[in-house]
Parts: sequence; C-alpha cells; structure tokens
Amino acid sequence: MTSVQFGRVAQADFFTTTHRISGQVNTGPKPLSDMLNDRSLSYMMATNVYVSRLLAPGEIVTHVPVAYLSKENLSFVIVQAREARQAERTRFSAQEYRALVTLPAFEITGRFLGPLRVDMQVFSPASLDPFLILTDATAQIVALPEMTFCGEAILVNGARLESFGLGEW
Amino acid sequence: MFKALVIDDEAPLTALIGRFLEGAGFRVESATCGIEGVSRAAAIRPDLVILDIMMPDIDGYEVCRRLRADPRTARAAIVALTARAQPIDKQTALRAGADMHLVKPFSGKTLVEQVQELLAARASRLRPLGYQVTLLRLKQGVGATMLATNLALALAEEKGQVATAIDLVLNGGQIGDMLGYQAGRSWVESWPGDEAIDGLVPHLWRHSSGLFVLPAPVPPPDVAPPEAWRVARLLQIVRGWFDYVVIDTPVALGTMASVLLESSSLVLLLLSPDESMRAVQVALAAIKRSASESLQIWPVLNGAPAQTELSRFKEQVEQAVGLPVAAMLPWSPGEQPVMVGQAESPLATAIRTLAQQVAGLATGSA
Repeated sequence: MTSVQFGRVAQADFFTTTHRISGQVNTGPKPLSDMLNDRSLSYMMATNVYVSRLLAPGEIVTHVPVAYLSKENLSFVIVQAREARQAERTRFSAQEYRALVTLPAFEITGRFLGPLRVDMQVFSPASLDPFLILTDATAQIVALPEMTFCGEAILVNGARLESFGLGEW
Repeated sequence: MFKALVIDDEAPLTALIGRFLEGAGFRVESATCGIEGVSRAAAIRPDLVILDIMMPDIDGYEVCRRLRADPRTARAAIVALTARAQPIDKQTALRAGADMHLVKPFSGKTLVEQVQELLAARASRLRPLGYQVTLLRLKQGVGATMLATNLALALAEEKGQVATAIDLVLNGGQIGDMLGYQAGRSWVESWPGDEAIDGLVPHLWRHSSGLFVLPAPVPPPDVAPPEAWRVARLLQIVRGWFDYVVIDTPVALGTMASVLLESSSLVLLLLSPDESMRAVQVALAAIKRSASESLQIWPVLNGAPAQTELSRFKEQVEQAVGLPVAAMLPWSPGEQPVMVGQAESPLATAIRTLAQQVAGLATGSA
C-alpha cells in the first residue's frame, strides 16, 4: 500500500464463516476495538485487502485495494494487543477467566477479563460491547480442527455467539 | 559480498530493510511488486531474497514458487517477511519454497541476525560445484533409469538443496517419460553451446517435486551424438547451478566416457544377478583408468525377485571387485518414479537410504 494515510493503521485478520480477510484499517487515534464497538457504523473500511477462503486460509485468492466489511457478519478479528481496549467498567473491577467460545464454524479459547460475578446481566446488550475481547487467544475452524489461528487478542462478535463458557484461570 | 533483493510493495519499508541489510554489508537491490521481483532476481541472481507476501500483482507465495522454478534463482535463500503471522501462513510460505518466515512488525537487528544465520547455515552446506552422480550399467534392462530418476527425486527432497537429473541416453532416454514430461524439446536439438546457464534454462523442465530435469529428446534425433566438449560444457554449467547432478547414461558411453568420468564425484555401477563377474571386473578397470583417483565407485545391485539370490550375488560382486556393495534394491515390477507414487515402498525406502549415503558423502559427513 503506497498511499499516504493519517492516523493509526491497524493490520488485522477478519474472519467470517467463509473467508479470512487480511487488511489494514485506519483507526485514527483509537484502537481497532473502538471502531468495531462503535454502534453508529455498520460497516468498516479496510485497505490493501487480501482474501483467503476459509478452507485454504493460507492461500490468497484475491487482492483488492479497498473493502467495506459488514461488522455484524464478522465472526471474529485477530489483532495485536494494543488494538483491543477493555471497557472502563471492566478494567477497574475485573477477574480473569479461561473462556471457550463457540460460534458458527469456529471455537475460540483465551483469557477473558470479566466482572467479579458473572450472571445473565453481563450478557445483556446494554452491558456488553458488541465485540468481546479474548487475549492470548486461539481460534480453530471446527471443520479443520488442526487449523489454528493465534493472536495477542481476538475480538469476538457477541452477536454471533452460540455459547460462552467460562472457567477459572 | 552477499547480494540481497528486497521485494515489497511498500516503498518506505523496502528502503528501511535495504538500510538494515546494507549496514550489515549486503549489496541491496529492490523491487516494488512481485513480477518485477521475479525478473530482477533472474537478472541479478541474489544470494538472499526478502519477500513480502501481500503484494497486489502476484502474491509472495507465487513469487517464491517462480524463484524456485528457475535454476538461476532456485538456490537463493528466501525469507518471507509478512504481516500474515498465523501458523498456516508459515506452512504456506515454507511449502512455496521459502527458507524462513518472519513476521511484521520486526526489528532490524533481528532481521539481520536471522538472515546471517540462514546464509551461514546454507554456506556450510553448499559446494562450489554440484556433486555429480553418474549411473553406469553394463547392459540394458537393469533399472538404471529407474534408479537415476528416483535417486534424483530423493536428493531433491533435501531441504535447501537443488537437484537435477540429466538424461544422456539420447537415443531413447526415459527419465522425462517416467516423470510425465510431455513436450519433446531437447538440448541436443537446440543446445548451441551457450556460455551461460541462460541458454540452458528453457530446456530444463521442473517436476512438481522440485527436481529439475534435462530430458532426452523425444523422438530420438537422427543426428550424430553430441561432441565431448558439448557434454563437458553442459556438465560444467549444471554443476555450477545445482547441488546434485544425477546422470543416466547409455550402455555405450562412446566419446562421452572420459568427460563423464572426469567430472563425476561418484559412480553408481548398477548390476543385475546375471552379470558376468569377468565383465564387471573389466568395466571397473576401464572406469578407474579414465577417472581421477578421488572418484568413488559404488556397486548397486538390482533386478532379482528373490532376496536370497541378491544376497548371494552381493558376495560374488564384493569378492570379484573388492568394493562393498552400497545398496541392494528390492525387486519391483515395472519402471516407475516410486519416490512420488509409492514413497513408503521397500524400493523407495532403499533408494532414500542410498540418497542419504550419497548426501553424507557429498557433505563430508559420511
């Protein structure tokens, strides 16, 4: 990508149930998690985008200079830790849990920073950001369990969740 | 001084990597897309290629495959430097032919240390001239082509080493046919005595295993065999470019004999149980007369359906020629590239073991 950009550029891997999309997002002064959790925007623009099919996620099938990603259809996003900012309320009263998340086509494990007491209220849309943060996380494709994707942080789309398992770390 | 080529579509990053490498004593050139990178590499023949994977024209994996498919660039150390950091990305890069996978962002110090380590490891393995293994036989039908083909395939399996099989059975050689080579182009018809590898490149065919092949012409040409100087020149060029050169030869070597034996590092003399010991002794004496003292000669036995028969024959050969038999190949019907289709068969295992012995001898670790 040779065009001049202002602000911070985050490199990320976006996963849907069918594709892996690697690209850059200009996030301005904020981390990528803030853009994903911004409920006022349904789409996000990525540049210098390389697309792989989920069944062969190492092979690049196409490149496009710009792509608009539908946030609600993303399953998860792999980012560097600095691109994942915990919500204020979580940062100040939190406990670390071991989490196992299932969503269509994927299983993800990692560390989840949650409230001291977890109850149903935690999962209400009002108290939860659209994208949950798992750190030191690993995602697996259910159909290809030997295929793993690791990241300092994985941002999981809460709307795509099937189950959210928590255990003590 | 090592030559490095940096291929990356992000110009500032290319310049930065160039500065790191120049600081470490490399001579650096750059290319800003995959296609330009492939053509620059063929022109300058770098020792090291730093390769971005996500590039808009052709991706780094395809660049890597093209570099490995061209004998002029096949021996370069290739480092994939990419933001694609997943285990599958590393696998894909290594499968495409990269020697190393490094993840962006990176530190200049780490990059330089890693490439120096990689080049040092490769330098310790590489020889100034390729190791030439020549297969000789006293008669037809002993499986020499089968062995030449499979041995070359086994040597090509060695990581970081580039091998070629040269078919000098010009009146009907089968190496190309065994490996599925379709075209009938031949070096005999079009080899004009070029002074460089560039003249040979269009005639070298790369098998999917990574083995380069110079097939015999199909159909055999109605012309006189090549002069000895042409063969000598050919061998000089290919030995300059490949780590291993495996040569299948006809029964009658004619004028090629002295050239072939002089340049050989190792002769595999392929024998079958119905061989006359007298003929073997005469052949061996003739080989020793034409070759240098450093030439290694290894008898290899093939062609007996029963192992007991082969064992008896081994004793006879060792007694008659005073050389240990290097390998006894299990009998296998037909002639096929077993290293590809039946990689776990007894024959493939025996040939792989023989290849390890050859590699050990070549690198001085035997």
